[in-house]
Amino acid sequence: MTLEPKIVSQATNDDAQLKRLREILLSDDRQEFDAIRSILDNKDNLKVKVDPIIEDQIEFIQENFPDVFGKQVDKAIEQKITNSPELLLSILSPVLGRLIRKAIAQQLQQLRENIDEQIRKTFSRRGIIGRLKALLFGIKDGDIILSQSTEFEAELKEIYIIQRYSGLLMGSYSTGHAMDRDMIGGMLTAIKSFAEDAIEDEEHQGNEELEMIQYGVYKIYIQNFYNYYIAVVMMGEITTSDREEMADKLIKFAEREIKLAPKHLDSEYINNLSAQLEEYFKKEKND
Amino acid sequence: MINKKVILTGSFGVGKTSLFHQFIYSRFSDKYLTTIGVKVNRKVIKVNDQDLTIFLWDIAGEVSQDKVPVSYFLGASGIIYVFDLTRPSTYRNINEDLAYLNDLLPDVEVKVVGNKKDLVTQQQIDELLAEISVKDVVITSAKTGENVEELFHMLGEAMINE
Repeated sequence: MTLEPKIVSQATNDDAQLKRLREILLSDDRQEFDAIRSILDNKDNLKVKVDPIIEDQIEFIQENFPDVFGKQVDKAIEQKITNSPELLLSILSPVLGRLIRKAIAQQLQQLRENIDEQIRKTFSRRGIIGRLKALLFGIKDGDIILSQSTEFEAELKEIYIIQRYSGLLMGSYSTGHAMDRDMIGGMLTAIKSFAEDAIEDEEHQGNEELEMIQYGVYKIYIQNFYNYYIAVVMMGEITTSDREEMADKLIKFAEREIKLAPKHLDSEYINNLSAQLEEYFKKEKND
Repeated sequence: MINKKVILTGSFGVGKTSLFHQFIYSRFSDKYLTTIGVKVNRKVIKVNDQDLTIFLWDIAGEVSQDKVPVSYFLGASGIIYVFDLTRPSTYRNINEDLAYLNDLLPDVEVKVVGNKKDLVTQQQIDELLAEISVKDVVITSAKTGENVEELFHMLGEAMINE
């Protein structure tokens, strides 16, 4: 006699019942699982479910970006700049370079002029004599400096208003005997064009303009405007503040008096503008 | 008195500076001096009873016009494009050069000049003109002065009437 078949039969029954029980208990979960799987496995179904959530999140991020990621972005930028400052410089330098360079050059020029002035006053023959006079006769330093100061004063010699590209003279003013004014207008424009074209590189294309020419004791300062430029011939010791003062005067005159040149630049226009220029600078000198 | 800027341009060695000297000073020199950059001079001529000052810019020759600094051309009321009747290389790109100048300054009067007439025959000139198919070419000789004054008068009239 053997019990084995009964035991096996009993076990089979148990399995079937367990399976049945499992099916009863898990059927809802299974259906739910199948539904989820059909969504996950099918791209279109997944898209319908997920897209609105992503869109909401994108909208939320767009609206709240600084609050949500501000700190991280700041940190990332800070780290980038710390790691490679050249990158920031290479981006900013074309924009700011010219302004910074000009400002630094101007400051250095002013500093140099101050030092030169101080050295000249202290060590020049007149300076030494002045100091001796002050010591011997009790004259104040300030009075001596005042008596000497006119020697180095900048002197305005000539002004030319010149059409920017044609080089044609629009007006001029001279305190003495002027050279061939028309020719100066033409040649100055040619020199200006040549210098600007020959020296400028790709980086500074169209940004740099000739601003000063020095010849012996004369300096020609050029104030550039859109359609024309004004060239001022000065003599003597010209400080940065002299130059700035002159530039202010020219800008004021240009704003007030210079209208666009007519189609045919004729003598009447040139004479009128020259007369206005003369009147303006004589008045400025007297003021 | 009216003032106008005129540009003398073209390939190198075509006689621009000789035309410049012939027009301004009425003289010619056999000595060849290459122009560096630009040279400016002026001359007053009478056009329709009106004084016209021509400011003539003699610019350094270039094999093609797009090599000339653009700033030299700007503000010009007239352009004189010169080629050498004896050297085909100076008129080989004439149509491209003229198209370039027209694009750059569409409203400016351009005179095309074949210079060195004293070195060629009339038959050679006719053949050349047929070859380049450019209308209204002014044939000049800077050496003898032939047609130089006439060239500037024609240009002056065109500039005043523009």
